Amino acid sequence: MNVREWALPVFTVLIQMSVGALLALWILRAFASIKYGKEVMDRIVRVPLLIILSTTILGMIGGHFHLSRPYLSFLAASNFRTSWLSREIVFTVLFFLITATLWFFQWYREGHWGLKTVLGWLAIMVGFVTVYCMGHIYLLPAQVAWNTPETIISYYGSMLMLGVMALAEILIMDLRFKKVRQNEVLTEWVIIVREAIKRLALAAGVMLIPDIILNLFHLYLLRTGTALAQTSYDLLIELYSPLLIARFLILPIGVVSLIISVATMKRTGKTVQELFTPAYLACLLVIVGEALGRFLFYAAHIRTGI
Amino acid sequence: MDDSPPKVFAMMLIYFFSGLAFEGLGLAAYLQQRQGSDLPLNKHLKWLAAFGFVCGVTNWIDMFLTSGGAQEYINVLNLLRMIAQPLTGLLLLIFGWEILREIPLPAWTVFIPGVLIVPIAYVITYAATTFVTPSPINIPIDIWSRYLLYLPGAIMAGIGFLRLWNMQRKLGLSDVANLMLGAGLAFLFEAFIVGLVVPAAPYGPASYYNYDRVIYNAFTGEQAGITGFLGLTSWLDNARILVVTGLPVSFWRMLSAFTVTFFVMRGLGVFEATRKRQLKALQDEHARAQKAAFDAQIVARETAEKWTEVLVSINRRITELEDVDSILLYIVDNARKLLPADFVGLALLMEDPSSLELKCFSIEDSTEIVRSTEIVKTPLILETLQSVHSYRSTGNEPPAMLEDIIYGQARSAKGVGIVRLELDNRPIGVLWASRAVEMSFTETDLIWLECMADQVVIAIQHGLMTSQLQSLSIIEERTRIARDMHDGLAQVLGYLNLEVQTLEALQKQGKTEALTSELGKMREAINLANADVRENILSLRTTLASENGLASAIAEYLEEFGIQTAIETNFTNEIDGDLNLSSVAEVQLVCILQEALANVRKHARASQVRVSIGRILREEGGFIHMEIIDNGSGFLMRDSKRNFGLKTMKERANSVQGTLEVQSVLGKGTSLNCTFPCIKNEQLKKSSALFTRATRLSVH
Repeated sequence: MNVREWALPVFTVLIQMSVGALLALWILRAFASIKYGKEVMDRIVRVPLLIILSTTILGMIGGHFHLSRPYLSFLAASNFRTSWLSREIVFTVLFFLITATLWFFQWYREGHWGLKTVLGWLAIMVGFVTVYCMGHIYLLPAQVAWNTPETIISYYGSMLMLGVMALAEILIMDLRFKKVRQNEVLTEWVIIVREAIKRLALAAGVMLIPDIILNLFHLYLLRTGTALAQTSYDLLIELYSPLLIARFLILPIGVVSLIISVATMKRTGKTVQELFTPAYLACLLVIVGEALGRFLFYAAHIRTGI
Repeated sequence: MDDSPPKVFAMMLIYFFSGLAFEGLGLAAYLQQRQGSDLPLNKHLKWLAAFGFVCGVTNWIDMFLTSGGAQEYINVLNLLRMIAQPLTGLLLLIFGWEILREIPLPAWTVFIPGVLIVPIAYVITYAATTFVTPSPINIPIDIWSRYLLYLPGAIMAGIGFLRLWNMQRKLGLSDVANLMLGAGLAFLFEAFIVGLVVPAAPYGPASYYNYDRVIYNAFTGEQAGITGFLGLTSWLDNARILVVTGLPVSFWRMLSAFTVTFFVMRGLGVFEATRKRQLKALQDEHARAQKAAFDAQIVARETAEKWTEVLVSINRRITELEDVDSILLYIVDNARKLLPADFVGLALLMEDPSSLELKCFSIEDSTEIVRSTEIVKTPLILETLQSVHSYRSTGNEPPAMLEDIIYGQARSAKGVGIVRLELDNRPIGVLWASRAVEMSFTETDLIWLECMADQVVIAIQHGLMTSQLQSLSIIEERTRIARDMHDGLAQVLGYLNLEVQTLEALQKQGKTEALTSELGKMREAINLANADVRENILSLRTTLASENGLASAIAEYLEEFGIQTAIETNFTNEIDGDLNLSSVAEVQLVCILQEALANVRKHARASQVRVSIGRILREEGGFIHMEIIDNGSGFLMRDSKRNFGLKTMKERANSVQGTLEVQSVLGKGTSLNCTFPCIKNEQLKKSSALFTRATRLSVH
């Protein structure tokens, strides 16, 4: 893989992480606002929203490296009716615009709780569509290793896993920043983040199981598929076996390490801010795992026909 | 690479010295760390030591690999190198991170890991994928150890040392700061030459500038690129360094190793410098403490001397029977100055035991007796009055508790010391001092205040005793008058009674001549009685009527005495103003004068008497001198009847620390000299109201 090829996993992983993180953030916002009020939640979501928007921008910039002529990227949207790639680009841009609007309201307009809620869920829905389009691009009859519904499902799985882990890291990082500055550490804020981290870790643990099963199932499909599928399978278990093993190990290690850190928080006497390093390493491992998975996804494809 | 023996030997030497430099670095850091220090840098030295040792070993492995040998031997060395090299990078990364955090980082740096998480993740992923290329595994290990571990580790260590340089520079430790600067720059050079220059390989950043000399394709079917990405060209790999500089990269790494080792080892001198600084600081502190203790002793001694001086002065004033009010004013004024305090007040219990009245106080510009009735109601003072113990504020009291401590002023006290006054184990009042600034009274202050309270009680006691003494003087005077009347007027009246009976008998007997003779005797007796009575009246009036001053009273007395006795009197007053005698002394002086003049009238048969008063200054103070001289018949000093009267007069003089001397010559008259000590008090004329109250208090 060269730079143009690496641009694809950069784009897909970052956009999926953005959508997943926004989904997790908006679920947290919805539930926490009932117990702790809208005002405090309005403050908590500010920085995460900025980071989600930045990640989206980073993903879109990264995606341009895949193009031969990045300055003509807007032309990619011209085949919206027939091309999933065009749809992916259009919905990605739409996701970006709605998220940017939401960020603007969140940072520069107080109140408007209902509007922000609608914008958030709208962005999430568009994001879901984006990820669907993203996955559907690869459902090509010529690409045996990709041409299964499992591709789309695994994309959604990655989206949720990346989103959950990223949000956990973002929340802790933001809280740590506020603690360092010592300007506005609120007890409620700490409680909300602590409770959120527990639930996010639990959610990551729950999602880990289908993720592993899905990957094993994918290998099974390749192994039991056509000759071309078996060729892909052979590539994975021979040439790329170290990476495949790493992929299978790194993701669970990241998730489980976060779960252990959160579970032992009370016993070790650590504050939620002190979970920064384990949460960071867990998030890093998950991104590496997902990026490795995406590398294997592209590397293992065997084209048939033209 | 040219494998000629001289070049191999040169390479071996380079690796050897590189290893030696790092081993030296590790040893120095280890020894310094074992020596221990309070410096935070000390706890990171273990990582630097470990890095130095492992890096040295890695270089020496390279040395042995250069020398060649059996394949098995080479394989073992390669394996060791593949373990040692990433371990070196990891140790440097940890050390770099630790030293970077040595000085707290700005808050915004919290986000740096977050921003870098995606790039780091992708670099790691990319690095992982290079291990499945056909290239030998030691190549990606070498490259990624440098890119992912050594490069960030050396950069962080460099920045960490530069931050220490900045800190030391601000502290003014230029010598140590320069070494930190050198170490920082050396690590940055190390980051470049060791972390960024890698072997030629088909991947990494190098893949873009190494495509023209790739040894292995990265992936099956992939073609080598000719054009570098973003115009990067192949200049950062080992071969390019050799081409550009004419020297192998190992030489530059050796140079870098020596530079790092030199500056870091010299930089470790910061520990020695710190130790010396701490030692000097301790010595300075010791000297300061000694001086402070010495100064404190001097201050304490001076303070004690001042207090002692004031206490002695108070005692002297009490002994000299000075006015009680003036003594109390002197006490509160000096207590305020010596403590020092912003306010000192004295309150006494009056007739009503629950009524505590402010009697006198001292503030910055005024020390005075309170004329009007000012009842003290401050709870803290009243509580202390009922308590056995004195009170001293600790600084933790609520502000409301210290309100109304400074009378007559709106400001509230910040510190207070309160002492109860006791007389015969009963509370009679309170003496308290307060400060308007945040400075609590010490235990020593409280002890001094208690001493002053004792002096207040003593002064009041002496006042009471003086009052009683005056009462005794009055009684004694009355006794004298009664005795005089008994000896004089009563005798005369008895005599006259007998004479009247004699006259009646003579009249019945018709003895006219004898009758006339007896009438003449009766007239003399009546004249004598009249003189006695007048003298006693004069004595009484003079003793009690001193409102215009004693000298004036003496002058009036002498004038009246002259009229009554037809003895010429002459009074000389050499004193301008008040005599400054205590009230008791005044009484005794007048009594002595009366006794002396009575003797003149009764016994001296003098035609003239001269009285003079004047002031004598001696070392021990001022004295009033009175001289009485008559031109009478004089007497013999052994005359028992006269001696009794003289003895009484001497006792009167002695009772007020005075002296009395009498000289008499038969036929030439008598002279009497007496001296009385003056009271030296500039406040003698102040009010006597408190004395009166104290008298009432004693009755209560």
